[in-house]
Amino acid sequence: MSRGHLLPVDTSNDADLLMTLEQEWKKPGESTEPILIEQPSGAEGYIRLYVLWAKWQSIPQQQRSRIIMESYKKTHSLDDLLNVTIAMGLTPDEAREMGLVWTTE
Amino acid sequence: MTLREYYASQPETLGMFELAWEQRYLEGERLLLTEDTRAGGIYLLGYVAEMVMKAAYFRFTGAESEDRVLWLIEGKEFKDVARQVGSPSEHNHSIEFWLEALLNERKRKNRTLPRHLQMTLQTYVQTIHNGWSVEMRYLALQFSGTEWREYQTAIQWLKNRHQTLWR
Repeated sequence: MSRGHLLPVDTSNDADLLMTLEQEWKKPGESTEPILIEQPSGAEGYIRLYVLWAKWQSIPQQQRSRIIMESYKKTHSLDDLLNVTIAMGLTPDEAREMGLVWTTE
Repeated sequence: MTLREYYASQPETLGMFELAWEQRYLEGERLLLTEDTRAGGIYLLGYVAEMVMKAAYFRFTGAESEDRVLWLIEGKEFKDVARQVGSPSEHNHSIEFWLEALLNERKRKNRTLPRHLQMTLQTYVQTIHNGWSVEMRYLALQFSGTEWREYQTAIQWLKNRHQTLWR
């Protein structure tokens, strides 16, 4: 067994990540990442957002969710935003560990 | 009577749930405020959030204080909902699942929450989801950052506003 420690949150890259995500929501770029997934939830009309991105590596989960929601808010309507139940940022490795399987267009 | 027999003799009703989360909340808050016991506080308070969401869902569907939670969960009506909503993880402990079940039910009955309330609920559930996991019980953890304060705020809000989620 090992003991873990959480470190203070570093927000220095948030603006860059946010800007990239905003651009990607508006018009997906040519690069392979980030991968944006709007997955219909079982709850009618609601969706779960998954953003798969290696750049999340050193960023805590809560910060990732906040960045995703902020980018979604800036590029979608309030109704769309209200339909998001969960926003998760995962590195591709984390997503695989969670058992997610995806494909890209 | 063993302690286990004592627990088993207590009815697991919705009313008892509400008393239980008040108790767990006070215990969890106390643990949360000291660094050495913070992990225990976060763990316990996550279950408070789960109980609040679970109770809100069943209250909204018309369940009363005397109804046994286990029977509600084992009922066909709930099993159909669970099949439809699905659960990303943690089965009946998943706070995401209870959020989606509640929102689904409210929408189905044309009684969606006011927008500001729903947005706040979704934000706080996300915060709790990011800060808590059933799997925490297997981990030795220490929290030296300040993220736990957001988590604490989210739990407090959920507990204090629980009636607005199902009324």
